[in-house]
Amino acid sequence: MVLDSGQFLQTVVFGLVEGSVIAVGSVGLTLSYGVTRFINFAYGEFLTYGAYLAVFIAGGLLGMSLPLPVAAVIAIVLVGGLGVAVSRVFFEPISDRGALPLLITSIGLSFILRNALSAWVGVDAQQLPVPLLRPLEIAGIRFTLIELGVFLAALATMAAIHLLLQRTMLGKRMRATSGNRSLAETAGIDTTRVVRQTWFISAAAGGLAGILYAALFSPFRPHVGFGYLIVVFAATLLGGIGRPYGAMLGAFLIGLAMNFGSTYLSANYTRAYAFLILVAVLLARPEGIRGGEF
Amino acid sequence: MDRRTFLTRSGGVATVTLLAGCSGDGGDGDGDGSDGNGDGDGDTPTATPGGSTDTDGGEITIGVLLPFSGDYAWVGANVLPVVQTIVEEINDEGGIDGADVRIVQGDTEGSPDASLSATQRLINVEGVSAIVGPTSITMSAVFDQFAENEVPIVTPTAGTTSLDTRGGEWVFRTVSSDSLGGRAIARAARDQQYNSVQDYDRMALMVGDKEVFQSFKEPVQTAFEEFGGTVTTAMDIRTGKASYQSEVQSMMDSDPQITTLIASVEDSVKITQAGFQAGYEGNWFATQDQTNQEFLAQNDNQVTNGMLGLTAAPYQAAQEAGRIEAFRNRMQNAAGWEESKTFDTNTYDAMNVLGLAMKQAVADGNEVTGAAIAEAIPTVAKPPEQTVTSYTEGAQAIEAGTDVDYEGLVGPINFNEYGDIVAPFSIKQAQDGAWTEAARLPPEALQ
Amino acid sequence: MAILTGWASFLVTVGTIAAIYGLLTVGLNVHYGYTGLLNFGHVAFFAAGAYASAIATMPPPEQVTNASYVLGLNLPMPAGFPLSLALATIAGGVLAALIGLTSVRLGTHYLAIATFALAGVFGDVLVNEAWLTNGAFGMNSVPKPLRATLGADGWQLAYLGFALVSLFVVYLLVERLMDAPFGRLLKGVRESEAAASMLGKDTNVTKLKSFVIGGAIAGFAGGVYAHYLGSVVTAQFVPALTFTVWAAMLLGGAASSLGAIAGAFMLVGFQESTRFITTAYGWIQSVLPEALSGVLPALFAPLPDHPSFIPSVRFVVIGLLFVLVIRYRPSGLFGDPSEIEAMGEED
Repeated sequence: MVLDSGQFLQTVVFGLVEGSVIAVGSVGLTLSYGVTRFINFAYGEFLTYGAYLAVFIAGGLLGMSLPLPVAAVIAIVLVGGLGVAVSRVFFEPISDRGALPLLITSIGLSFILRNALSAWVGVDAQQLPVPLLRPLEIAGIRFTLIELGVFLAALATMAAIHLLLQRTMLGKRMRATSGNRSLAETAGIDTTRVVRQTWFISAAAGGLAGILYAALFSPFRPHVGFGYLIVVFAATLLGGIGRPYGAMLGAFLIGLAMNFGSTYLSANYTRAYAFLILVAVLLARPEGIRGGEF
Repeated sequence: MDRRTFLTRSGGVATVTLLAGCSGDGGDGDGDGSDGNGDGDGDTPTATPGGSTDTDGGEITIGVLLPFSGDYAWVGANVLPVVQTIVEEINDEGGIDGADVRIVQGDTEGSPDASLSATQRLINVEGVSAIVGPTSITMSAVFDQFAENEVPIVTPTAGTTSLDTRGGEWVFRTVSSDSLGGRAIARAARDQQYNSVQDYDRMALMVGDKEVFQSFKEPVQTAFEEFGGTVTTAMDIRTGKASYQSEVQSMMDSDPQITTLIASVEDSVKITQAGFQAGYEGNWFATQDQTNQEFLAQNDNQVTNGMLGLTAAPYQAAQEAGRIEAFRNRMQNAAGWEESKTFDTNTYDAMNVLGLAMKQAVADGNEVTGAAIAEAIPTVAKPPEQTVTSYTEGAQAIEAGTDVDYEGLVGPINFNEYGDIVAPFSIKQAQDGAWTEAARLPPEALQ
Repeated sequence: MAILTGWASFLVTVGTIAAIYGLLTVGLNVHYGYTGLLNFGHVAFFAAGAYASAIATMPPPEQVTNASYVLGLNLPMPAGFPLSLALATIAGGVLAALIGLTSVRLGTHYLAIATFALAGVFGDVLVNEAWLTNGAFGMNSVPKPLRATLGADGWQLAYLGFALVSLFVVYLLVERLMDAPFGRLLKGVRESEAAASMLGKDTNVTKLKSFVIGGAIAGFAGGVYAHYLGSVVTAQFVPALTFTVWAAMLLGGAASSLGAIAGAFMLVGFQESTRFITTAYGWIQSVLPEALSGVLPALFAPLPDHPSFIPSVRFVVIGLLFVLVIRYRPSGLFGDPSEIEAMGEED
């Protein structure tokens, strides 16, 4: 393996682009963990539904075919709504039972969502109607406008989340609720409402992550989100569960690790690099990583 | 919810599912000709009561054992309508010795234990006399079942090289082995007359890590070197990955002129597009899995223009006589197919052979058992008897007492001692979103 | 002439598969039901056992077509059968020890994720390292002990008997274990780790032991599977299998070995019965009088027509099972409610 600087930089670029997609997903996951205190194994399905809804809406599901950005926004809103719906139907009723029942329920929910989708539309591969572009080349590094767009969209999302958390009332309430729910209750915050709003944002972020993923990695099938779940988990846990800024950083690191591993070690073990980092992180903190405040 | 309610509800669910299981079908005749216990399932136009496989008023069951769900569901979806069309023809011609032919599906789901129980169900519960299928994916898991239970199979899809020397008694196929297909790719790449582009000297191989793909790898590699070329790299790639940029980069680093890509449609889309974006200037060679409309439609013309692909060629004689055209029209009417589908002609030949073998078994004075059919299969396809090209034609000839030699759409269909056939190949080239034929490769060119 | 015909032969096959799933579920129950460990990587131990048996008993590569594997120990049958199963059991236990060493000290969520992730890595290894596992082609010449002597049908019956007896023996062993002080220790850890460690018990070691026991049982199941199908391919060992076993355990009742076995049989029965849906449909259609023949098609017309519909619905039902059991009947059909209450109150 000759360390060719061009290839090195190219790998960095791929890593950052993929990392940005993971970042959107892991921020969503970590926000929801903050207020619900369990890791939602059905989170991957929000990615899947985001991608599929975007494809179908752009293709005319709502009566006429729409340009992709419009379809994407509608899809994201719908997935956000889906998040609220599933939290009310599946998780709120058992929210007093502890982490284990919630976790197992989320596994069941992931099966339901994923297979309801494939039951309805089949398992054929789908693609976002994204044009195939030749890459631009700057200083020996190649990237397409699509990759650039995805990266910028992800950064914008993270900026938006940052503003949400720091500058808005909702953000303050979310931080308070995740820090100490009962205290937030006594301070007069309607925590149930905050939790629902967080679910909306969390699921919407997942939907957006799915769309960004599909823009880069089409064609895809109904199990695409579930397959990517561990990668998102890795990023979330690397950054510290419940910490959005950590999740963003963790995501970029995971993206870089996966791409470096593929380029320089073996391309056949791409996901494994994410898994192994995940396990290493978990080992480094054997007491179990405690979620903190935002 | 209290215990009683839960038990009642789950009991209800269990009952329903058990009933669904037990209701099975009306008869339970099996291929050995033992006594069946028909349940008398009422008066209907097609099904007739009773399950014994004796003559007069009985029923003969053919199983279609293929993936009908999962990633390879398209195989089952391509094969079943052709089987149904031929079975209709058989029944219109009076069935086999008065008995109608019935089709039962078994879904292998592309998984070993599912295909084992599906095979068991077809053989033991549905009592099939013969089977169309399975694919290479599940062949190993169920191979022993056929000889043990004396049920012959004709598979129109399984090209795996692991079958090359195992069939011939109970297992036959109407599709060329991948060892021939691999040689064909190598031959065509080396020789401009077979690809219409150039003589390629340097070839890279990118092969997915499933048996259906790996089966091609060694034949292509060996043959290409045998014919004087150089294989620059032979890579195994992980199927189902999000992106293949690293793999494409490795391929390009080995500087090939053409890359033979043996993978699924969606992985191939990703790989060829990655090559396009990385500035790959060489060509691509695809196999039957990608040489179809789906692949071109999912891809971009900029990427696929000029690409080469291997498919089974229609048999020259059949094409000239207009039989291919006739088959297309027939499938359009029967199933609404706008274009040809992978394995359609292979299935036509497989089912015709089975139909004629059953007819022949009766004509020889036997009952329609698996063993009798298995014996008749090579016979009805062997020259130098009277050539027939359709079930109806063959059935009438057999009834008149003549021996027949079925010639198909895929090739002359002469099974060798291992149940294999040879068939010509067609090298196609993609241009503006459609595959057109660039050259024909007769089996002789592969020696 | 066949002894087993028709339904009998089919049921023997299904029964053997159910027994194998029963073993898997009993093993998982040791992890979750008795010790409260969330193991989402159970399929890896099953695979380890199956491949161990395959490697131990396959003929050397020279004798097999398409062989990329390096190691085939070709133990003779039937004498080598117990040894092959022992190796499978050990393989499962060893893999469980390795994964457990890294994971058992983790809290609920993280154990679940870690086991899921490590099983994924193991799966990648199985596919990629063809020198060990023959990669995509799989190990297809695993011998079936006494097959030649007993004949096809006799062997099917004998193997079913063997599988059921093994299941029974494993059940007894686990029950013995749980009655002994070790069993109470496991349950103590499940209920409250803090209390257990205050009493001076090293909870991590206990959890590791439990992990190894459950993994060894799953490895044993893998060996039984390998010699039954005669073919070990990576396509069998997918994550969905782990969750199918979970569904079986939850349905039957966690913390009850008998419940685990019952759950496995019910789940396999459910899966097999869905294979008959199209046949049942056809039968009902043929039985209905002419006038009603339009009813069923009209009822089912709005449903999607593609071939993946029924398998997808099958998994939707499994997902619903998870949700409903946890919510309304956490102790499953045969479990003991008091055992289940003890779980779930963790960080």
